Amino acid sequence: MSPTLHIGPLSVQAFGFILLLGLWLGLTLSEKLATRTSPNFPVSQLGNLVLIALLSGLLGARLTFVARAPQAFAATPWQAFLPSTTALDPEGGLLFATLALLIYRQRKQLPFWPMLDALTPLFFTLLIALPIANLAEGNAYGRPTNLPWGIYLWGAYRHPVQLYEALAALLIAIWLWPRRTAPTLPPGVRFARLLTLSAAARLFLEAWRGTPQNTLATQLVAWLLLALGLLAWGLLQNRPSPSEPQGEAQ
Amino acid sequence: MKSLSRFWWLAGIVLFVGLAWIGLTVRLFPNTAENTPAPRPGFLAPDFELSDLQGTAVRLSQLRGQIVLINFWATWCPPCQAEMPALQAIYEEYQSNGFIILGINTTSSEVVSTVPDFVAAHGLTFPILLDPQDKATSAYQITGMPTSFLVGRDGIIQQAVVGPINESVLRSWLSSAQNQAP
Repeated sequence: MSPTLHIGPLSVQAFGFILLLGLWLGLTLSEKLATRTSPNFPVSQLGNLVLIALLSGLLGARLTFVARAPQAFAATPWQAFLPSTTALDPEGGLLFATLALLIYRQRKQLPFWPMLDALTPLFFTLLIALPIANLAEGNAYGRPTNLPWGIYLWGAYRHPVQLYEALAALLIAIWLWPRRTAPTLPPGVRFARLLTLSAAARLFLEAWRGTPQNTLATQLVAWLLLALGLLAWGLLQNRPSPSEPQGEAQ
Repeated sequence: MKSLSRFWWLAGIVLFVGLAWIGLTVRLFPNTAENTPAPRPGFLAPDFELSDLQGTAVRLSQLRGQIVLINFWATWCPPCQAEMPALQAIYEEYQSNGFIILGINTTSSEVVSTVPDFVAAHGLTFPILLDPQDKATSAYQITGMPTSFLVGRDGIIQQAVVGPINESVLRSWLSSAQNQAP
């Protein structure tokens, strides 16, 4: 049910391992490519940003879980501090991680759009790693299908929707890859493109998800993110890029 | 300026197509519960019939309408031993609200005679079922112990946990499961 990878004497859960691998690879890529994605951003801050977001996300996920069912912890409040992957609220974690990121940026006076551009390789690596981790775990599975490429999972042949998502994220990553010869984009445009294309992919592919969830709500959130991404892309694309003289449009 | 105007037109078209796709999805791909049994949240809990320590047969599907925690355990498994007092306490607390625990002993990995002693030593009063042929153990694809499944009143698995259950987390799940219509 929960596949494990055996590395020598160690047994690790495939889901967590693939996500951690994605995080490490993504951070390494972000640091290596920062001179091309975000020439004026202090690369040394990337590791701190990710660490702070990660710790705040975990703390926030646990706090939100406890806050949603305080009566369950009333008799044994110390259990709120026990390590457990089941007592986490993903939405709360995401909110806390984002807030922590913004507070840290404010305190260190880091430029907003260059920061997001510098983190874009990390984001697209995670967008590839997450569906692969889901596939390994059997999470986020697709609807039943008769198509020849259906995979047998949970009692039926299903759309390999996790692979569709990973493939979409890979194509987006290839398009957004900061090539050495390409002109530097205006600050924020690379991130806005990632947001736009990822939201569009989610909106489209959600239709083939088979997990019991509110497809309509997920698609509406994806549509809002798509609108935000397009807005940011449109507003930022005519700003000067870091290598261009101020005032000159791309 | 012309390319900027074209961008906003394209953006508008993309957003319109996105909305149309949402409408199409609602019509063409409605959310339907799957009736396939699988050991996975969102699926019908695989049915089984096993005997308890007194030899009485217990079938999962006959407990439909109750909230069931299926707990796979073994006497030799330290985390299983550690979580038993919490399971017993929760069982006593919620039993009157239509909650039952089925403690499935993975008997093929046991010296069977140790099971009644273990149950007595821990003062367990919820049904303990024996699985000598690994029927339920393989139907639920158990790879580690303890593993637990919380099954709602409708027979659908709501939660699956590998490893010991946090007592407070179980309480929070039970409070939301109890609000579910049978």
